[in-house]
Amino acid sequence: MKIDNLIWNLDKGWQFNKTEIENKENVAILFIFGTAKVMKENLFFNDIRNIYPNAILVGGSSAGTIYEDEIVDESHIIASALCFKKSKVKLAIENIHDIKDSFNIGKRLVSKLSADDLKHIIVLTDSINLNGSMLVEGLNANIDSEIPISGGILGEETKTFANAYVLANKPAQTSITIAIGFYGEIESFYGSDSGWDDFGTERVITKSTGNIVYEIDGEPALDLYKKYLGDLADKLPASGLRFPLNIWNPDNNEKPVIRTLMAVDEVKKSLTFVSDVPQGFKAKLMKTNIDGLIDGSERAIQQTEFIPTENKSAYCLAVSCIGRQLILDQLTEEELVVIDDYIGDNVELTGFYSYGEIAPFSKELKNCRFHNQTMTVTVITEK
Amino acid sequence: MHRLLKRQIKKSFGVKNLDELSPELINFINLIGKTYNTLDLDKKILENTISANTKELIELNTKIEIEADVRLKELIEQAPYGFIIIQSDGKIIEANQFACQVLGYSKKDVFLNLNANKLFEKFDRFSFSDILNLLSKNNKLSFDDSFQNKLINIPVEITAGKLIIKNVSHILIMFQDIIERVQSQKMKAQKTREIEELNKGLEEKIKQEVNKNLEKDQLLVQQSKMAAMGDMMGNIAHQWRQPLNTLAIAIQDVEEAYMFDDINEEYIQSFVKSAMENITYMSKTIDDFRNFFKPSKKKEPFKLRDSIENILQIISAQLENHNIKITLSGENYEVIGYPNEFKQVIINLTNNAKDAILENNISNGDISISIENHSARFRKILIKDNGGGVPKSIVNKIFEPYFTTKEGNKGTGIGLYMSKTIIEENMRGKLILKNINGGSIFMILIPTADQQERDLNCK
Repeated sequence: MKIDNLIWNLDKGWQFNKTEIENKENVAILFIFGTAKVMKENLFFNDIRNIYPNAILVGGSSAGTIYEDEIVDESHIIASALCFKKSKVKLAIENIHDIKDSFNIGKRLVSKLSADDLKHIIVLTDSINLNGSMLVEGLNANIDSEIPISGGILGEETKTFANAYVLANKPAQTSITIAIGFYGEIESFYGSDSGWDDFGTERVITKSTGNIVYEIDGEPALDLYKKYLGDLADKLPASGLRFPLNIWNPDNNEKPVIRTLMAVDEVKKSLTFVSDVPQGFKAKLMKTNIDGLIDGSERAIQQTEFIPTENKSAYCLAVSCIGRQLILDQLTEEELVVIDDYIGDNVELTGFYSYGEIAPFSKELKNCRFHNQTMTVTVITEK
Repeated sequence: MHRLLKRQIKKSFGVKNLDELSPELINFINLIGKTYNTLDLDKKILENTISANTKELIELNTKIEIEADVRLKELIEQAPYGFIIIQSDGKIIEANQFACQVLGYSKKDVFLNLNANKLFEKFDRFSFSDILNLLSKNNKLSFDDSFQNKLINIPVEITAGKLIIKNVSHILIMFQDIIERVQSQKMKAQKTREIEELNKGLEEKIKQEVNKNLEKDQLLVQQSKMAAMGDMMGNIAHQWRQPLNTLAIAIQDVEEAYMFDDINEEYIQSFVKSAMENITYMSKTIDDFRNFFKPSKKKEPFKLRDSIENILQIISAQLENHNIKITLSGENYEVIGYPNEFKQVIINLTNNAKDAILENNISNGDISISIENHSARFRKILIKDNGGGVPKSIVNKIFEPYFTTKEGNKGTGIGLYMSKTIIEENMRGKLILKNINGGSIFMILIPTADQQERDLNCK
């Protein structure tokens, strides 16, 4: 496997940071990330298509574009071109029309990619009119659990949960979900960790519909949140990003997942989370600090069990939650440094700050889950 | 008809007598007069009603006031606060039950026989004249005081203020027993002192525990070195076996050569040369051993490949003896750190690999060490073995101190812990273990000289 790495801005066009691939026509896929503004303007597309005429172009908008251990300036776009010796990739696209179709979108994407030599799937999506949890259930429903699925919900720079732009072989558009299948001699490694700790008493979600929680322990959800947040409650919903909810199904042994608060309704006293918070689930409030998040990021890359070697190139896709960025603030890049230190110069690291992450819990629990507040990494290389 | 009205009508019509007007007009004027009288009566009735109502209201108000006064008096009488009203000449005109009881008098006594000057003699802080004096400057006073009642000193909080009753200025004294508050403050102070003492004790305890931990760490280092020394002794024994054997054969040969009269100058020279070569080799092994156990005092530049080769010279004989192949590849990158400690890590990790190979009875044991350029910030050493890998259940524990899977007293459980400490804490690098097919791999990241400098600047 060989990799090119490029950066684009309006003044200079596409510039190579790293070029290993001699014959650009053989490039299988490019991962391209940048802000919604530059994605929407689409001034970069034709030139990159001309450089890599046969490649699948995927990617999309971000709430912060990751390149190595930095977040690049908002006017830039980052691209990584992957050229395989023996492996192949395939792209599946689904349009988002109705939130109720989320489960079926997941199912259809996977069925389009199914094959005996399928090794890994990366999913990228816009989140408007899409239920992330249902999408993930759909992805899991139609696949052999040995095939790992990772990826995330693309973000955008306003960080207001607005439409994200998805790139899928043509100028970036909203309202689509894409999945990329990797086949043949591909080796994939993945890890996901948050660095958040739960606190306070164990509670029960007593009234909820989809991603809206009305009551926790029989009390209006917003009142409970305010009581516990104290002074910080004045800054809801923004302060809510700092206090996500850890939820789990008390009827099975699955690990808890984190849900990020997205909006509050002062009239209905309800809380709206990024994804489903089912009624009857147990819940705890969560907190973290900067060191906790950076340690979480380091655990995520170590979980991959990927050992970088000098004679093997690899691509690392990092998907990190926007909530982490808000807390880490000017220290955001520190959570990228620990990953970059681990993978070294032979692995190209790009990615995006997201509205949600998709990854299996661990090597043992391969079914993918919809996460919030995590750093999720996927390393793709060839045997 | 009302006189005033008659006069006004005469004046308006310019007549001296109303009879001078026409009968219709007179009738009309009479009608107005009646209406006027009616209105006048109504006015009077209304005035009366208002007056009666007002009177009733006043009576009611008085009644309410009296009732309120009674209630207030009851309230004051039963309140858990002391109320005393004193005339400016010092005569106590009112006091509630609480005040009497707390001050040790029946109500009658207080009323009739006690002067405020006398009463305030019981208090510790102010006399009545002091209070009068202070109230001439302020409308209200609040202060803590105490008084003696049957050998008990009772702390009280006193509020004194001016009170006007029937236009005459009086002094209102209110007080409450604050014995519980004072006791709780005393208890709080006591608890605070206790906590402070406990904290002092805790600080001391923490210091002691930290020192104990330091001692433990030092002991760990020492134990680790001793364990490594044991391994090294084994290695030296292997290294010396061959030259000792050669020397023994040569010495036995001297005896035989003497018997067969073969000893001449040439024989002696050859004997001395061979013996000295072997002795020099043995001496060099001892030097390597000694250098290894000399702790590095400060960070210094050293070359990764040279250091590892140095170790391989010492350990390779023992590995060969176990039929374990060890190879080294990669550039001789220079890094900055503690070279002898680094060597100790390489010994620990290769020993770990060797033990895994032996425990799992791997016939073609293979340990490969490669040195790679990881990034601008780090150089990388990969130590890979085919010893079967680490069971998943313990993979997260192997760097914990005193954790060992080795039987009996073969393992101390500190080798990998010390290795991680040396690489990550002392040299600011990373030591990671991963399972691979049929074995495991240790990845060591050592900061480059540039990175070390950056780390120092960041401190």
